[in-house]
Amino acid sequence: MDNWTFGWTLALIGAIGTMLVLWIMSLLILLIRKIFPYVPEDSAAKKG
Amino acid sequence: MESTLVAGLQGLFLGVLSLSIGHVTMLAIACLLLYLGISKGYEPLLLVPIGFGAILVNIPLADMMGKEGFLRFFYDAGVLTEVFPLLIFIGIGAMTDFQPLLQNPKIILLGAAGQFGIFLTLLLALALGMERLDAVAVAIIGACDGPTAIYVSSKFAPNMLGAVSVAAYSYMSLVPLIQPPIMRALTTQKERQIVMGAAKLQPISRATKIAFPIIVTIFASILAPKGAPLIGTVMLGNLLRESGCVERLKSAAENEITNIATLLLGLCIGATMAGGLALAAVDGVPNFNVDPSCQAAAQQAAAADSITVCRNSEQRARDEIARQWRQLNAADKAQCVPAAAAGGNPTYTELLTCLEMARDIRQLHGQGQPTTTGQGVK
Repeated sequence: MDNWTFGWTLALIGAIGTMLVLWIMSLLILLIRKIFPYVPEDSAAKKG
Repeated sequence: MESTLVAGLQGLFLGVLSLSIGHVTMLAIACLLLYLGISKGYEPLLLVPIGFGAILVNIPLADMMGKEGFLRFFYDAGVLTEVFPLLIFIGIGAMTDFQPLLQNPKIILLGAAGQFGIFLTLLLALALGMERLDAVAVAIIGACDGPTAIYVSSKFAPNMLGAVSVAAYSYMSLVPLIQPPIMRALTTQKERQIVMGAAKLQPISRATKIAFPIIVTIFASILAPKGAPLIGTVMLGNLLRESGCVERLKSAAENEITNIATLLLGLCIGATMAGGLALAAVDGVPNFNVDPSCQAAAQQAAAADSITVCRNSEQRARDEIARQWRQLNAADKAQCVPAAAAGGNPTYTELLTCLEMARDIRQLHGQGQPTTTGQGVK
């Protein structure tokens, strides 16, 4: 593999891989938010 | 008595006599870096220690980066092991508030912009004829990310550490100068006058903020194990911040650890800017006078044609080095040329052996191919 092919392969796979991983990470954040929803302090205190 | 006095006086001027053009050039560059850091305020936290490190390493005969030099100690312990950038990453994690990202996860895609900068720079570096791993190290500059550029350079192209670090931080400090004309060119005045109100975003629970660094570390490290030290240290710092129960550790990560690591990292980066290294990268094959060494060998061998055999052998070694010179690693050249000349009677055979050993060690560490043509010196 010459340097030019190496560069383009890395750039294409890297760019696609980056977008894919970042998208999965954004889904992961939404999942964490679902698992640990925000509870306002006053309602948490009432529960307590 | 007289000869002792003369020798003593000579000793006084030995440092001056040992000054080379390489030293003077690098001392001037070091002073320029100090000027940019102190007077112009361009990334002074890094440019000041880098500039001073470059001064220290270019003092002739001080040997600060020699085997027992104090800069060598910090370089081996913190840069070669990649510990300093990682310590800085703990501090970055402790200083970073991920709440806006947790409130609006879509903005994580903006991170891709930095990655595109990396790939564009990589292609440009390869187009300019750089070796692959050197180009990879240079490419990180495109993300405008100093600590990562240092981390990747120390891992893949330690010989380029000084140049990459200075370029990365100079680029980052120039962003306020580069960006406004581009922004003016791409937007109208009306668009620039739009006042953006704060978006009404959902509040985030404390549990989410604590779970985020833990889950991201596990997920990202499994996906890219080689990146685990980077993501792990950033997320450790962030966990210290969000957990709320280790205030002292968080404070240490933000202040003492980051400051000490920044100071020592800057000094070590400056220490890679030795005049000898810069010259070894651009100079041709050194010219050695091999006659003294061949005459000594011929006396020991006591054979009539020994000196001719020795000279021929040296010429073959020189030709071989010359054939490979441009492809050889600059750091290996910078290390081997002074080592071969150290005894006073340098030989090309010694230089060739040193370069071969350096190449083999590099290959053992999996770095041989990209810094040479892949064939090395046969």
